[in-house]
Amino acid sequence: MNGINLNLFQFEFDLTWMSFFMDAKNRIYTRYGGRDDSSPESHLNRDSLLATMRSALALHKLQDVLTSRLEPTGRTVRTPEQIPTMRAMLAKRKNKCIHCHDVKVARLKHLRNQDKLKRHMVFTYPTSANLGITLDPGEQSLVRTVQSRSPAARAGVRVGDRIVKAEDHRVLTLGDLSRVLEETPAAGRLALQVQRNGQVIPVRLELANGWRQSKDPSWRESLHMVGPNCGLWGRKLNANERRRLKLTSDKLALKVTFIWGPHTRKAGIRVGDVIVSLDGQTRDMTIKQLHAHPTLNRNWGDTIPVVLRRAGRDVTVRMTFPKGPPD
Amino acid sequence: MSRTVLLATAMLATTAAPSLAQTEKPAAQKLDGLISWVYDYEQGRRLAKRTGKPMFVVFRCER
Repeated sequence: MNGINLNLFQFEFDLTWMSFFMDAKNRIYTRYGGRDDSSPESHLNRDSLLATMRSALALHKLQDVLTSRLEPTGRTVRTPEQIPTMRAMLAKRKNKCIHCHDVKVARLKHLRNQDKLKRHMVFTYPTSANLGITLDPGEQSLVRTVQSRSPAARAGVRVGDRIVKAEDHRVLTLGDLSRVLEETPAAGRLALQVQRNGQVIPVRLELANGWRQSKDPSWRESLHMVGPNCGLWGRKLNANERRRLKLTSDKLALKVTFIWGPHTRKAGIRVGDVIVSLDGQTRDMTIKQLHAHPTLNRNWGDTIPVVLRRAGRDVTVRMTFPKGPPD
Repeated sequence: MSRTVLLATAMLATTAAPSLAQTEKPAAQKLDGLISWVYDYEQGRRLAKRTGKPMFVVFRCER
């Protein structure tokens, strides 16, 4: 991301792949990319990319660029290097590449330095899932499922509807919709136009506080910025190991493979221990999901119980997080 | 679709960094394959202007 104009290229910096179809005047036809909690490639596939390319070519012939109020002009250039915390981040590295997630981490760090960082700020670029909608991965404006009692269901969105516009912003892809959702307030309304049986129908979604949050944000590289973590790395036990320890597949079973946190060592956690409960959480999860729990639910300085399976016995230790984030 | 119809501009994590010292600029990581990627956005824009083609600008970040 070195030298990239962030005022022009605005997207989910936690992800690994994003694209823009543009003209030579910095104007955007459509965005392609984005992901949900399930997978980095949840909405990346050959068919949808080809369809988007065809649409972009057709729009280019008509010079039909996006013109809604949400579209960045990019006239004022702002680069990642201008984020006040970026220089210090890069100074610690041999390789000076600025990754996409570095941009978000640097921004969150800057907010933290100003005492303005809030946990919910990690939930950037919501997807259709936050509305209760699953979009077809191939035809990305087509509604595949609508979750009952969701904002979309309450507004009357139906399976088979095609989202044409969101807040007057043309929607061809998940990337287009996500861009609008990023600019939608923490609580409020979202106006959609959906095509149904050849007719364009306006629907209005009521979005309650917290709608931007998703169920499993553990994939977000920037998550560690908003709360404490367990200071360790680990792996899930395989089936044989679980059988030996009498831990069923639905239960938490993470073997500690590496410890970096002084607070983790101080708690008495050792490499080789198997975590079977953390702060009361006993369901099966990945190491990233394990970290996400305290990061999103506990504060710096809090103490939580951790149950370890060690030499065939359960040992309960108490882990106290550092009083504040590292510099 | 012909691969020459769209200009392909790959904005990797390694493009030029104007505000870093010259020695700190990371080298571009070139991609293999059939597409002739342009690794500099402004160069891509100039090409798009000259040829009248739209741009396909890709950000690909490795961790």
